[in-house]
Amino acid sequence: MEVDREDGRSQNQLRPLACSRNILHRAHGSASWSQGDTKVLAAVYGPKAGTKKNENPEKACIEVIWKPKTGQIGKPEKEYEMILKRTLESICILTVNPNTTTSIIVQVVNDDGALLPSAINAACMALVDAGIPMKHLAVAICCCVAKSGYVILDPTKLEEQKMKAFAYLVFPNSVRSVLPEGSLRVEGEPIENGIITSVTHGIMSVDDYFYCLERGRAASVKLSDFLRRNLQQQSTDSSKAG
Amino acid sequence: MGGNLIEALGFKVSSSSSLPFFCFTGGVTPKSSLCRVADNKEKMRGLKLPLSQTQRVRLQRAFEKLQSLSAKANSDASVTVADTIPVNYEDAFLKGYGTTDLNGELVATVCGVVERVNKLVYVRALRARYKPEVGDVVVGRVVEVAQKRWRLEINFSQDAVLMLSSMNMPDGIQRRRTALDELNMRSIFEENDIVCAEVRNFQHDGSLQLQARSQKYGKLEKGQLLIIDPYLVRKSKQHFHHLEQFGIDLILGRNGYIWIGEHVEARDSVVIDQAKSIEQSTVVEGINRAYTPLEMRQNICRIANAIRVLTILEMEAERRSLTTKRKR
Repeated sequence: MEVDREDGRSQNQLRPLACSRNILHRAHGSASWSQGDTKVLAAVYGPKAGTKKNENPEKACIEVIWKPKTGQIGKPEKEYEMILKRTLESICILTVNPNTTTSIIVQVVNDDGALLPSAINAACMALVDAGIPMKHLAVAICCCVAKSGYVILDPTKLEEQKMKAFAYLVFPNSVRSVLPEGSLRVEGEPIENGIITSVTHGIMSVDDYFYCLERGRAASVKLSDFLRRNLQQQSTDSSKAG
Repeated sequence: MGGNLIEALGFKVSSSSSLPFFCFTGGVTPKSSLCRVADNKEKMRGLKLPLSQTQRVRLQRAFEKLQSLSAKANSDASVTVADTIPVNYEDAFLKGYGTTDLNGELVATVCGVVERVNKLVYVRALRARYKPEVGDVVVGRVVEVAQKRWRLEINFSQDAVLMLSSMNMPDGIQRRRTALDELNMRSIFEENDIVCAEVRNFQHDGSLQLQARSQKYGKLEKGQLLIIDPYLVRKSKQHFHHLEQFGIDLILGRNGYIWIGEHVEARDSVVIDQAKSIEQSTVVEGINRAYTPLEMRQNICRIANAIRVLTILEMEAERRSLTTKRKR
């Protein structure tokens, strides 16, 4: 079913992605992520000594602060903070630095749809920039279900408002080999399964949800390629320093 | 060879005769010196060097040669998160920092370069925070005078602790620290003093404990503190350098804090008589302060600037990089 989207994209097409790391010099890690017009800035400070009161001292603790573009901090911001915290805690290796707190501050620069997935991607890149060990990268995508039943990826704000329901899905990055022969082997295998986070709003049927999952997973492979290329480029730029 | 490349790029050196000219460190293979230049391609573009046509062509050829050299897959591959590390699984190997076992495969957890030392495989992260080791020389700033200890800020996730008992008493006698010594801690180090010390061990919560038992450690005066990225200071046999040409002491702290100061012969153990300590110290300070000559201060600033340029070009801060003199 062909769908006309306002900006001329196809159903499964993502907006142009841009990512840059190490933009804030005083933060231990920082990254800026933009998908089309949505732009988010994330900064990581830490690990710092000590954990919060109710947290397990045998593990590292992650603290997220969400700063909206305008307005005061209210319940939606607290919800985003909690989702981000749980997502990032599952991808970081928490036993490496016990009894420490890592703070992640997310600043919304512009909101044009798919805000939470952009924030998750930005926070993940900022953690990589800070050198915090992680099991894999988190790749986040937003899928919407329209009233007539078709599914589109990466909506803009206007599209999001018109939709019946939407879901934010976060998938783990696949494990790839560094040598070229190794990656050929991986391509023949099916796409990795596993999902880190799923946040849904609105009403959708179970079939629609599984369809979203499939589409999201396929798109996450493309996203994770982009992330990998980005990291590879920057690591070869600054490697061999010594 | 590296030096010629710098010349070819037309780095302008001022006509001051005693200005140290930075060159690539000796004993470096041509490939890695090219690496360093090529890595800074973007930064050099930003510097807007005036290149003639032949220089431009030479630079372009050097970059292309470098790309071909580094494109070959070798065992020192740079990895990103969730990349499998190429290891021969039949051999016994030890998993080091930055690696984890996932489904029987060795996977990298940080972005970096794979390093192999005998059987240890680990990932050296680029641009990472300072990772302290026992025996490292560090330079720190006192942030707090607490009970029987000083807390120093050393560019690490936690403040380091220097115990009063790990510090030589000014009169040089080894004795138990009494309550009076505790009360007079401020006469040894105060807040915002720069101190040089050595890492003694790690405490249970991960913070460092330092010691300053030798004459070469202690309070640093009459100089400048320079903060650079910790990965640019490599562990070497000598961290204390004395540049005789300028009469300057250079202390390369492994945490990225570098001290450049006027040379002090040996730390005089001034006997602090409790009654006269205050007036004596102000008199001594008054005499010394007048005597840092202008030329010495200029030299200190020049060395500091040379180090700053080296860090911008991401070259290591090393003694050899700074000591080749160039007269133009």
